[in-house]
Amino acid sequence: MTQDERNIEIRREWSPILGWMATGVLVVVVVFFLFLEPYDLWPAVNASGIASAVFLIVLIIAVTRPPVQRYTRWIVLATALVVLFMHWYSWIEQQEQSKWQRSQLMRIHSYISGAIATTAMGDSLLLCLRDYCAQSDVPRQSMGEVFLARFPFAREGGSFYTPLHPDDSLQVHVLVLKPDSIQLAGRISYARGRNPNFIAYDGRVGVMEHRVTLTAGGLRHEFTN
Amino acid sequence: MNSQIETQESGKPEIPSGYLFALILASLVMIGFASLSIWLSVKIWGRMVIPELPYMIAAGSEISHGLREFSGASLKELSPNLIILALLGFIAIYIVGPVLLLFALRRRWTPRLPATSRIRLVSVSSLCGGVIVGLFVLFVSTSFFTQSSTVRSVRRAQAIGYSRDLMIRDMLIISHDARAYKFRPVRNGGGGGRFDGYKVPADLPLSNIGVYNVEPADTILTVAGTIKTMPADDPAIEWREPVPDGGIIATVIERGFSFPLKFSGVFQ
Repeated sequence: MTQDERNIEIRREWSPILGWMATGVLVVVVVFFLFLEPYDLWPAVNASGIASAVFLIVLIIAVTRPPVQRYTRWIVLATALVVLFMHWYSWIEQQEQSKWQRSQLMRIHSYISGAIATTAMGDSLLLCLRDYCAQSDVPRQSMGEVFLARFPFAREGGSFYTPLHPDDSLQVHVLVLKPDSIQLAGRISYARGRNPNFIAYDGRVGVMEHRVTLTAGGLRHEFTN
Repeated sequence: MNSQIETQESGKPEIPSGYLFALILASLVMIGFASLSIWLSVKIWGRMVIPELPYMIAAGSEISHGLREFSGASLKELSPNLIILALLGFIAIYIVGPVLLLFALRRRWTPRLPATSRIRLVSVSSLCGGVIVGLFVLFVSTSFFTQSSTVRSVRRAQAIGYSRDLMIRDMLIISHDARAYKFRPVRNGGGGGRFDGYKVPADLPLSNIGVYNVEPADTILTVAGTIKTMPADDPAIEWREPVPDGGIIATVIERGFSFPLKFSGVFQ
C-alpha cells in the first residue's frame, strides 16, 4: 500500500467518526440550550438525555449495518437497549429522589421553625401565667395587664418579638390582647406551611403559622398551617 | 503481523506524520477536556468526578437549591460551570465514548478492510471508547441494582426522623401544658407550684403517633414517649414494615425541657 493510499484509507476511516461526533455534539448542545431554564437543570438534562438516546440508537443501527452480520447487529442493539433501560430507571429514580429530598428539606425546616415559634411564644405566655397566678394583691391585675406589665411595648396587632441576632427570622404578632386572653401568632419569615393556599394573619399566602392562646385555664396551641 | 512486515519492508512510517500529529493533538484535547471536567467538579463540589453523569449533576443542583431555601437564601441561577460540566458529561459519555467504541468494533467485525490501518484504529478507539463506555455500563448496572435499596433506606431514615420530630413537638406541648398546670393554684385545678397530680389531657393537639406517660415528682416532671404508629400524613413516606421500637424521655422543669433528651431504639 502506497503512502497516498494509506492517507486516503485513514481519512476514510476517521471522517465518519468525526462526523458522527460533531453531529452528536451539535444535537445534544442545541437541545440542551433549547430546554435550559435559569433555575432548573432537569428540563435541559432530560431533553438532552432523550436526544442522546435517539442518537445512540441511530448510531448503533448505522454502525452495525451490513457487512456486519445480522445477529451481531441484534446482539449489540439488544445490549444497548438493556443498558439504556437500566440507565433510564436510575435516571428517573434519581430525579424523583432529589426532588423529594428538596421538599423534605423544606418540611424539616418548617418543623424546626414551628418548634422555635412554639417554644418562644409558649415560654413568653407561661411567664405571664406564672405572674398572673402568683398575684396576691387585691384587686388582682387582669391577664392582659400582667402581659403588658411584662411586655410593655406589646400592642394588639403589633409585632411582639425582638430578634435575638441578625439571622433570627422569627416573627411573632399579638393577635388578641384582652383582659382574659392573649393570642400570639408566630412564623419564620420563609418557612412554608402544609397548605399552600393558607392565608396567614398578615395576608401572606402558604407560610407556616402557629398560634398560642393564653387564658386563666392555661395554653392552647393551634398549628394553623 | 502483516502490518509490521510491510512497515519494515517499505521503511516508511505506517501512519503519516500529519495524522500522528492530529492524533496527538486530539489526545491533548481529550486530556484538556478531562482536566476541565475534573477542575470544574472540584470547584463546584470539592470532589473529583470524571466524568459526571448529567442526571447526577442535575440532582446535585436540585439539592443545592433545597439547601438554599432551607437557609432562607434566594434561589441562585444555574452557574455556567454547572452547565459546562453537564454538557461535558453528555459529550464524553453519550457521544465520544460510544462513537469511538462502535466504530472500532465495526472495523473488527468487517474483515475486508485493509489490516494496516485497522489495527491502529481498533487499538486507539477501543482503548478510549472502551474505557468510557465500560465505566458507564459498570456504573449504570451497579446503580440499577442498588438504587432501590438506597432510596428505601433514605426514605426509611427520613420517616423515622419525621416521627421523632413529631414526638418532640408533642412533648413540647405536653411540657407547656404541664408547666401551666404547675403555675395554676390548686383551687383552679392546678398544681400550686408542683407537677404532682398532672395528667396529659385528652384534648391536647398531639400528632397521635406516640403514647406518652408522665411521672410527676414535686417540681420535676418526666415525660416518656413511645412510638405507636408511623405518621400517615406524608404520601412520600410509605411505611410497610412493623412499627419500630423507639422512645424519647424528657425531663421538664419550671423553665421547660432539661436537656439533653434521651433517645432509645430507632431514635438513637
